[in-house]
Amino acid sequence: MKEDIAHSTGGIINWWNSRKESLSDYIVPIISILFGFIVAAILMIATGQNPLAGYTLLFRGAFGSSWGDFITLKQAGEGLVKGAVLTLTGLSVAVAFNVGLFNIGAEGQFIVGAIVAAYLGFKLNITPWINIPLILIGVAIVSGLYAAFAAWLKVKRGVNEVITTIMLNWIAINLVENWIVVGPFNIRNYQPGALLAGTPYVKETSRLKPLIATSRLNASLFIAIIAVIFVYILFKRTVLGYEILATGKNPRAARYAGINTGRTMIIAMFIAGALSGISGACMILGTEGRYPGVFRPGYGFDGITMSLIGGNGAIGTFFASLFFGFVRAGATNMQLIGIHKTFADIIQGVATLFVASQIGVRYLILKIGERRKVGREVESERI
Amino acid sequence: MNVYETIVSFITSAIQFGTPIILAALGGVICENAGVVNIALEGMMRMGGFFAVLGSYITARSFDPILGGIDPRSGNPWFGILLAILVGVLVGLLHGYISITLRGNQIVSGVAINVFALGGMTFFLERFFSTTGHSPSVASFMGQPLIPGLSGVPIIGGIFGNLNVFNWLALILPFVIHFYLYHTAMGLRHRSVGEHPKAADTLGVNVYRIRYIATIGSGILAGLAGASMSMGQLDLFDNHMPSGLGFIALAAMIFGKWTPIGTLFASLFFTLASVAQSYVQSAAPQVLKYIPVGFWLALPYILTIIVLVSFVGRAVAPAADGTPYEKGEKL
Repeated sequence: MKEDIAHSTGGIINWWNSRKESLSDYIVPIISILFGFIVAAILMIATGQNPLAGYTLLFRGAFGSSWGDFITLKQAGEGLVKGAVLTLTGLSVAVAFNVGLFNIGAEGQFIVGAIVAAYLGFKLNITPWINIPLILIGVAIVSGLYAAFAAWLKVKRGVNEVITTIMLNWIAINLVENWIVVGPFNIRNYQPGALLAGTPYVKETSRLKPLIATSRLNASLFIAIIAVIFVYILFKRTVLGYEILATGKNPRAARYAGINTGRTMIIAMFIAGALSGISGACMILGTEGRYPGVFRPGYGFDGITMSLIGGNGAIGTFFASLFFGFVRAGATNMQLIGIHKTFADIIQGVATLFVASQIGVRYLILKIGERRKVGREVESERI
Repeated sequence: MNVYETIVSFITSAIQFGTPIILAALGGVICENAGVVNIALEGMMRMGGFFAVLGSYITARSFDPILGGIDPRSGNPWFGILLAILVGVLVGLLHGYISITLRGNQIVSGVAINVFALGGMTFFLERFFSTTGHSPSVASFMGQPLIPGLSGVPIIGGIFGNLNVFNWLALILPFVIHFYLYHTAMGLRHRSVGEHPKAADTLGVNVYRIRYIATIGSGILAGLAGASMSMGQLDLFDNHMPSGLGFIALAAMIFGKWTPIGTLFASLFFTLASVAQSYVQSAAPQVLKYIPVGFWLALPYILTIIVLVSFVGRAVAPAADGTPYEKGEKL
């Protein structure tokens, strides 16, 4: 009888194993997001709000109130820009996760990338087609090294990367916002008497300009798509990607297989930092135009959620980011009925909770199957 | 100000500033020693901080002499603490349910709680207090020494006479938890669950129960840490709270090598570096000309990395930290 149970459980496990790639990888995030919306709606009801009105506003905020708005990307462009920035930080966290490192430092790398972009964008003035790639390369190198430092400390001195990336976040925030932006690279050094806080505007040749007049959508979407393709190919087609995955799955086995795991970790973290940095650069060269006095949009931390909801893969992270880019853009519109735009975080947080329990959800399915089986057998024995 | 007063105010502000970090980091210690990673300290602190203020606010009864209406400062701050603990229990249970019963990913669950706390507390702040800035001032423990009689005692009076209930907890709990973990049978079981749950299970230790106790305990401590910010350092909940201190606490826990006393000193090291930089800034403002303020603010974090790299070396987590345990699993 026991063998029978084990066999049936094994059958379910086999069934899951054969299908979980295709099924749960896509279904779990979608169900999780759905639950996010449901729980957020319950919160609205509990505090005397009409969720239907709220979600209508969110939808209109995300896609526009009319077909005309939708086609001209008046609102949707906003979501796409946010989605692009989220995609880049999400990929950053995903690459680090795949090598077995937890990159809480995406926020710091984002800020480093932003200030480097603001500086290079101000100094370089050639033509957009040379300017922008040069800026992005510079940003990638500086932010990449900033992140790789944490991996280097981990490899050489065994210092936990969680602690160093957290510290590097605060070092970046304090050095940039309380020194560089108010001191040597302040706008008043270049335009005495300027009323703005922050750095001077980047040159016109460095701007990622709106693609169409009706929307703020800019080329950062294409930069994000290129990054998605890059990460996808990295993991599916290259030796380095294979080494990263092997190191992440089992560093010991990878070392026996002749992979230099330390070097792999440092390179992966460099790529992660570069991606976060480019994300910051996209915001500066795109919508912001300069490094403002206070600039903490939190996209670095959101990258963690995007990667997790997206299953740490390139494509998944991209879709999760686009989706939440729209949710974030739409949530701004909920201000009309007195709901702060951080409402999007509630949906995002609850969705992530359900993603966290996905292994558990599968396990529960197994358990339920098992119990039914046992119950039936007990009944049949009685008879 | 003479030397004695300087030292006293230095130590007092270090304890004040360090209290939330110590309490939250202890929450991390409790949790991770039982093998459950708790990245959610930040979010748990935020919830505790908000609900502590709400608890004090909803018990307010008497009327405001100037504005009419209910005076938010007439509530019972102890009820605030109670609500913070209650919320800590609930969030701890949630984190436990996902990471222990459902065997979900503990890091993902922690991140989710952080993100939810970020948006959720802003939502509640707007619902309950119609603002996204900060709550009104409520009855709190700010400037309320727990044992005011001590201030008359020579030498130690200057320091201990000013400590509020949270400060006392932060100074005493590390030793209590140390005693629990290293000198009681229950503590031995607690650590064994974090090191080798299979072995513990074989010896009849209820792995799930201990892990639940750990996550709930960690929720309570982190909730208290949040309350110590909104009800001890201030008398209101600011929407920026806890502004990354939960992550600093996480770092302090690793820095302290997952031990309660080590964590206390790691938190105090970080705190002293922060207090020292603010003292240098106010005592000798001329140094800011040569070394800008941003560098001073970054200094505690830079020092932490330097100390970690040069003196502390490899920090080893409890062996089973982060791995879910399934009863009857094959080795």
